[in-house]
Amino acid sequence: MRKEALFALPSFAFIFLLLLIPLAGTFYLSFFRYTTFIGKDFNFPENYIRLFEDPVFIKSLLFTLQFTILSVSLELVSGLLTGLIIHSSFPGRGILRGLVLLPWAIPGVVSARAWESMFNYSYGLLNYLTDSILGLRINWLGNELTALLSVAVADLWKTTPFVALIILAGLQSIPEDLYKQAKVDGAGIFRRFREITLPLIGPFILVAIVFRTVDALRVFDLVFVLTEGGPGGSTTPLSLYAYRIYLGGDLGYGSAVSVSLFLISLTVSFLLLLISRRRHGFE
Amino acid sequence: MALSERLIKALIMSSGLIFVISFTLIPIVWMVALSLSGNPDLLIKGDFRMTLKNYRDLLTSPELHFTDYIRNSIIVASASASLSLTLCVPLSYYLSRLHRNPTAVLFSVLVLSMLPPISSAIPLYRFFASLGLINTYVPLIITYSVWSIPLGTWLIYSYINSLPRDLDRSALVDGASTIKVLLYIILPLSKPGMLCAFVLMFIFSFNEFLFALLFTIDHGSRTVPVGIALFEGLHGEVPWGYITASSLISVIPILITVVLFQRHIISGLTGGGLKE
Repeated sequence: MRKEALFALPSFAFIFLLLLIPLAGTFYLSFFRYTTFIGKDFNFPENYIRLFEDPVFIKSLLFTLQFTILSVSLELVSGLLTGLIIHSSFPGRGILRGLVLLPWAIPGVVSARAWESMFNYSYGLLNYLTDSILGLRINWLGNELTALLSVAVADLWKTTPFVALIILAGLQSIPEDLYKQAKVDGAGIFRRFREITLPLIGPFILVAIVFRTVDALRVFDLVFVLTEGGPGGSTTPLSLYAYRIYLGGDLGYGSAVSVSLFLISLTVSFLLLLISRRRHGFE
Repeated sequence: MALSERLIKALIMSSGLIFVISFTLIPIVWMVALSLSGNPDLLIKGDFRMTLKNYRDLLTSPELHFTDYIRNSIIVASASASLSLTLCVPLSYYLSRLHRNPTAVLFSVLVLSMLPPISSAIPLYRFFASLGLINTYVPLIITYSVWSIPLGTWLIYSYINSLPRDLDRSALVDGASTIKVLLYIILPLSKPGMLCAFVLMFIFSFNEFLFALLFTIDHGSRTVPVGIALFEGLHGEVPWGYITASSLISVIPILITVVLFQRHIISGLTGGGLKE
């Protein structure tokens, strides 16, 4: 090893000792059954067999996937729209960019509380509106379908800025001459968007998809506050399910749930990186 | 033709603008209304009685511990961002000037930041518990600094990489050691990049929830997000006034940071350098 590698040593040591070793530790824990006061005994692969027979795990897995697909697709649309808006020039653009960034920068817990105050049955703005217009109150966080939608909308609010920023980076990379040339050739606004903008920001859209997907798969604070995983466990993502099992003291099974979430995120991010590399020669 | 095209564009833009602004602002405005109203029951009947009681209580009554949470959060976030910066700068310099294949390293580091935190949480908890460090600042500072390395390295690496190489190369030729080059040439030149990284790592640590929930027990080390998530009234009721007011107070440091560094954040994240 060359002497210069010492510059990298502190960060690599930190990552190795405090991220990779604990990750391996979770794998290790998942091979045991933990019994309070008695101790642990090796029971691989029982914790993993239990996953497939556990209806709560299956439900949590399905919610995690549903939420990820729903929220990432919504965020792409709104992020693209927002990105186009903050890219074009108009008076007050600087202020708008700061404003649009705000939901992304505030704590996830605060955004969950903000949306809780919107969806709340008694004090929520939404029910205030439906009540005064239609004389109707909806238990937004109390029904499985509306709870899923509520979580997705709250996530959309929080993460649209991030997608918009990546799209903005893409838009800034397109040379203005391309549009001028296309205008001279008589291409209309929609045609220019479809044939210049979209293909050229394609790699950036993929980057946004990768980041947002892995982030949505590990969602925790939003549901912890907004729905507490309910109603009836219907909005419990895998990380919250693992947390609950850990709290109950079953370290082995909780670790098996954590490991499965880890493997899902790893597979998904590798697949997405592979697709983006193949389609765009993009690293 | 040209006129109708401009009209379409203006229509799309302005309706999008209205939608984006109202979608962003409405939840915040509603929180402000709840936090300023003495009684949410009256507010939803259209009777808004303004009061600053919620804010006053949070900032003055010690038994709510909100000022403790703010202090803890600021200490933890600044310490972990500083620690992470000391880790990231040498790594970024190494990757930019001394390594043959930096993108491979950068991408492996990036993949790490995508892991679900819960997958490493319990062994970390047991490690810190065995050292008696649960409910102190130490586990949070250390854990956040590790999780900030990918973000910080990406930002600082791209900044250092955009600096002209002639300066440090000629210093090396003149016989300066790589450590001297880093300390006296690279470090002073990359201050803007380091500032941007520090701000973003501070925001990340200030906002983090899962580790803070696991590694803290009470107001001795509990951070703002956990405090806001676990707020409960003395009699089991949901104290909407305190929840919304504390949420809004905790946004203030972030708001100031984002307004002050908006251009740095955007250009840092979009890789546009700091010109524009």
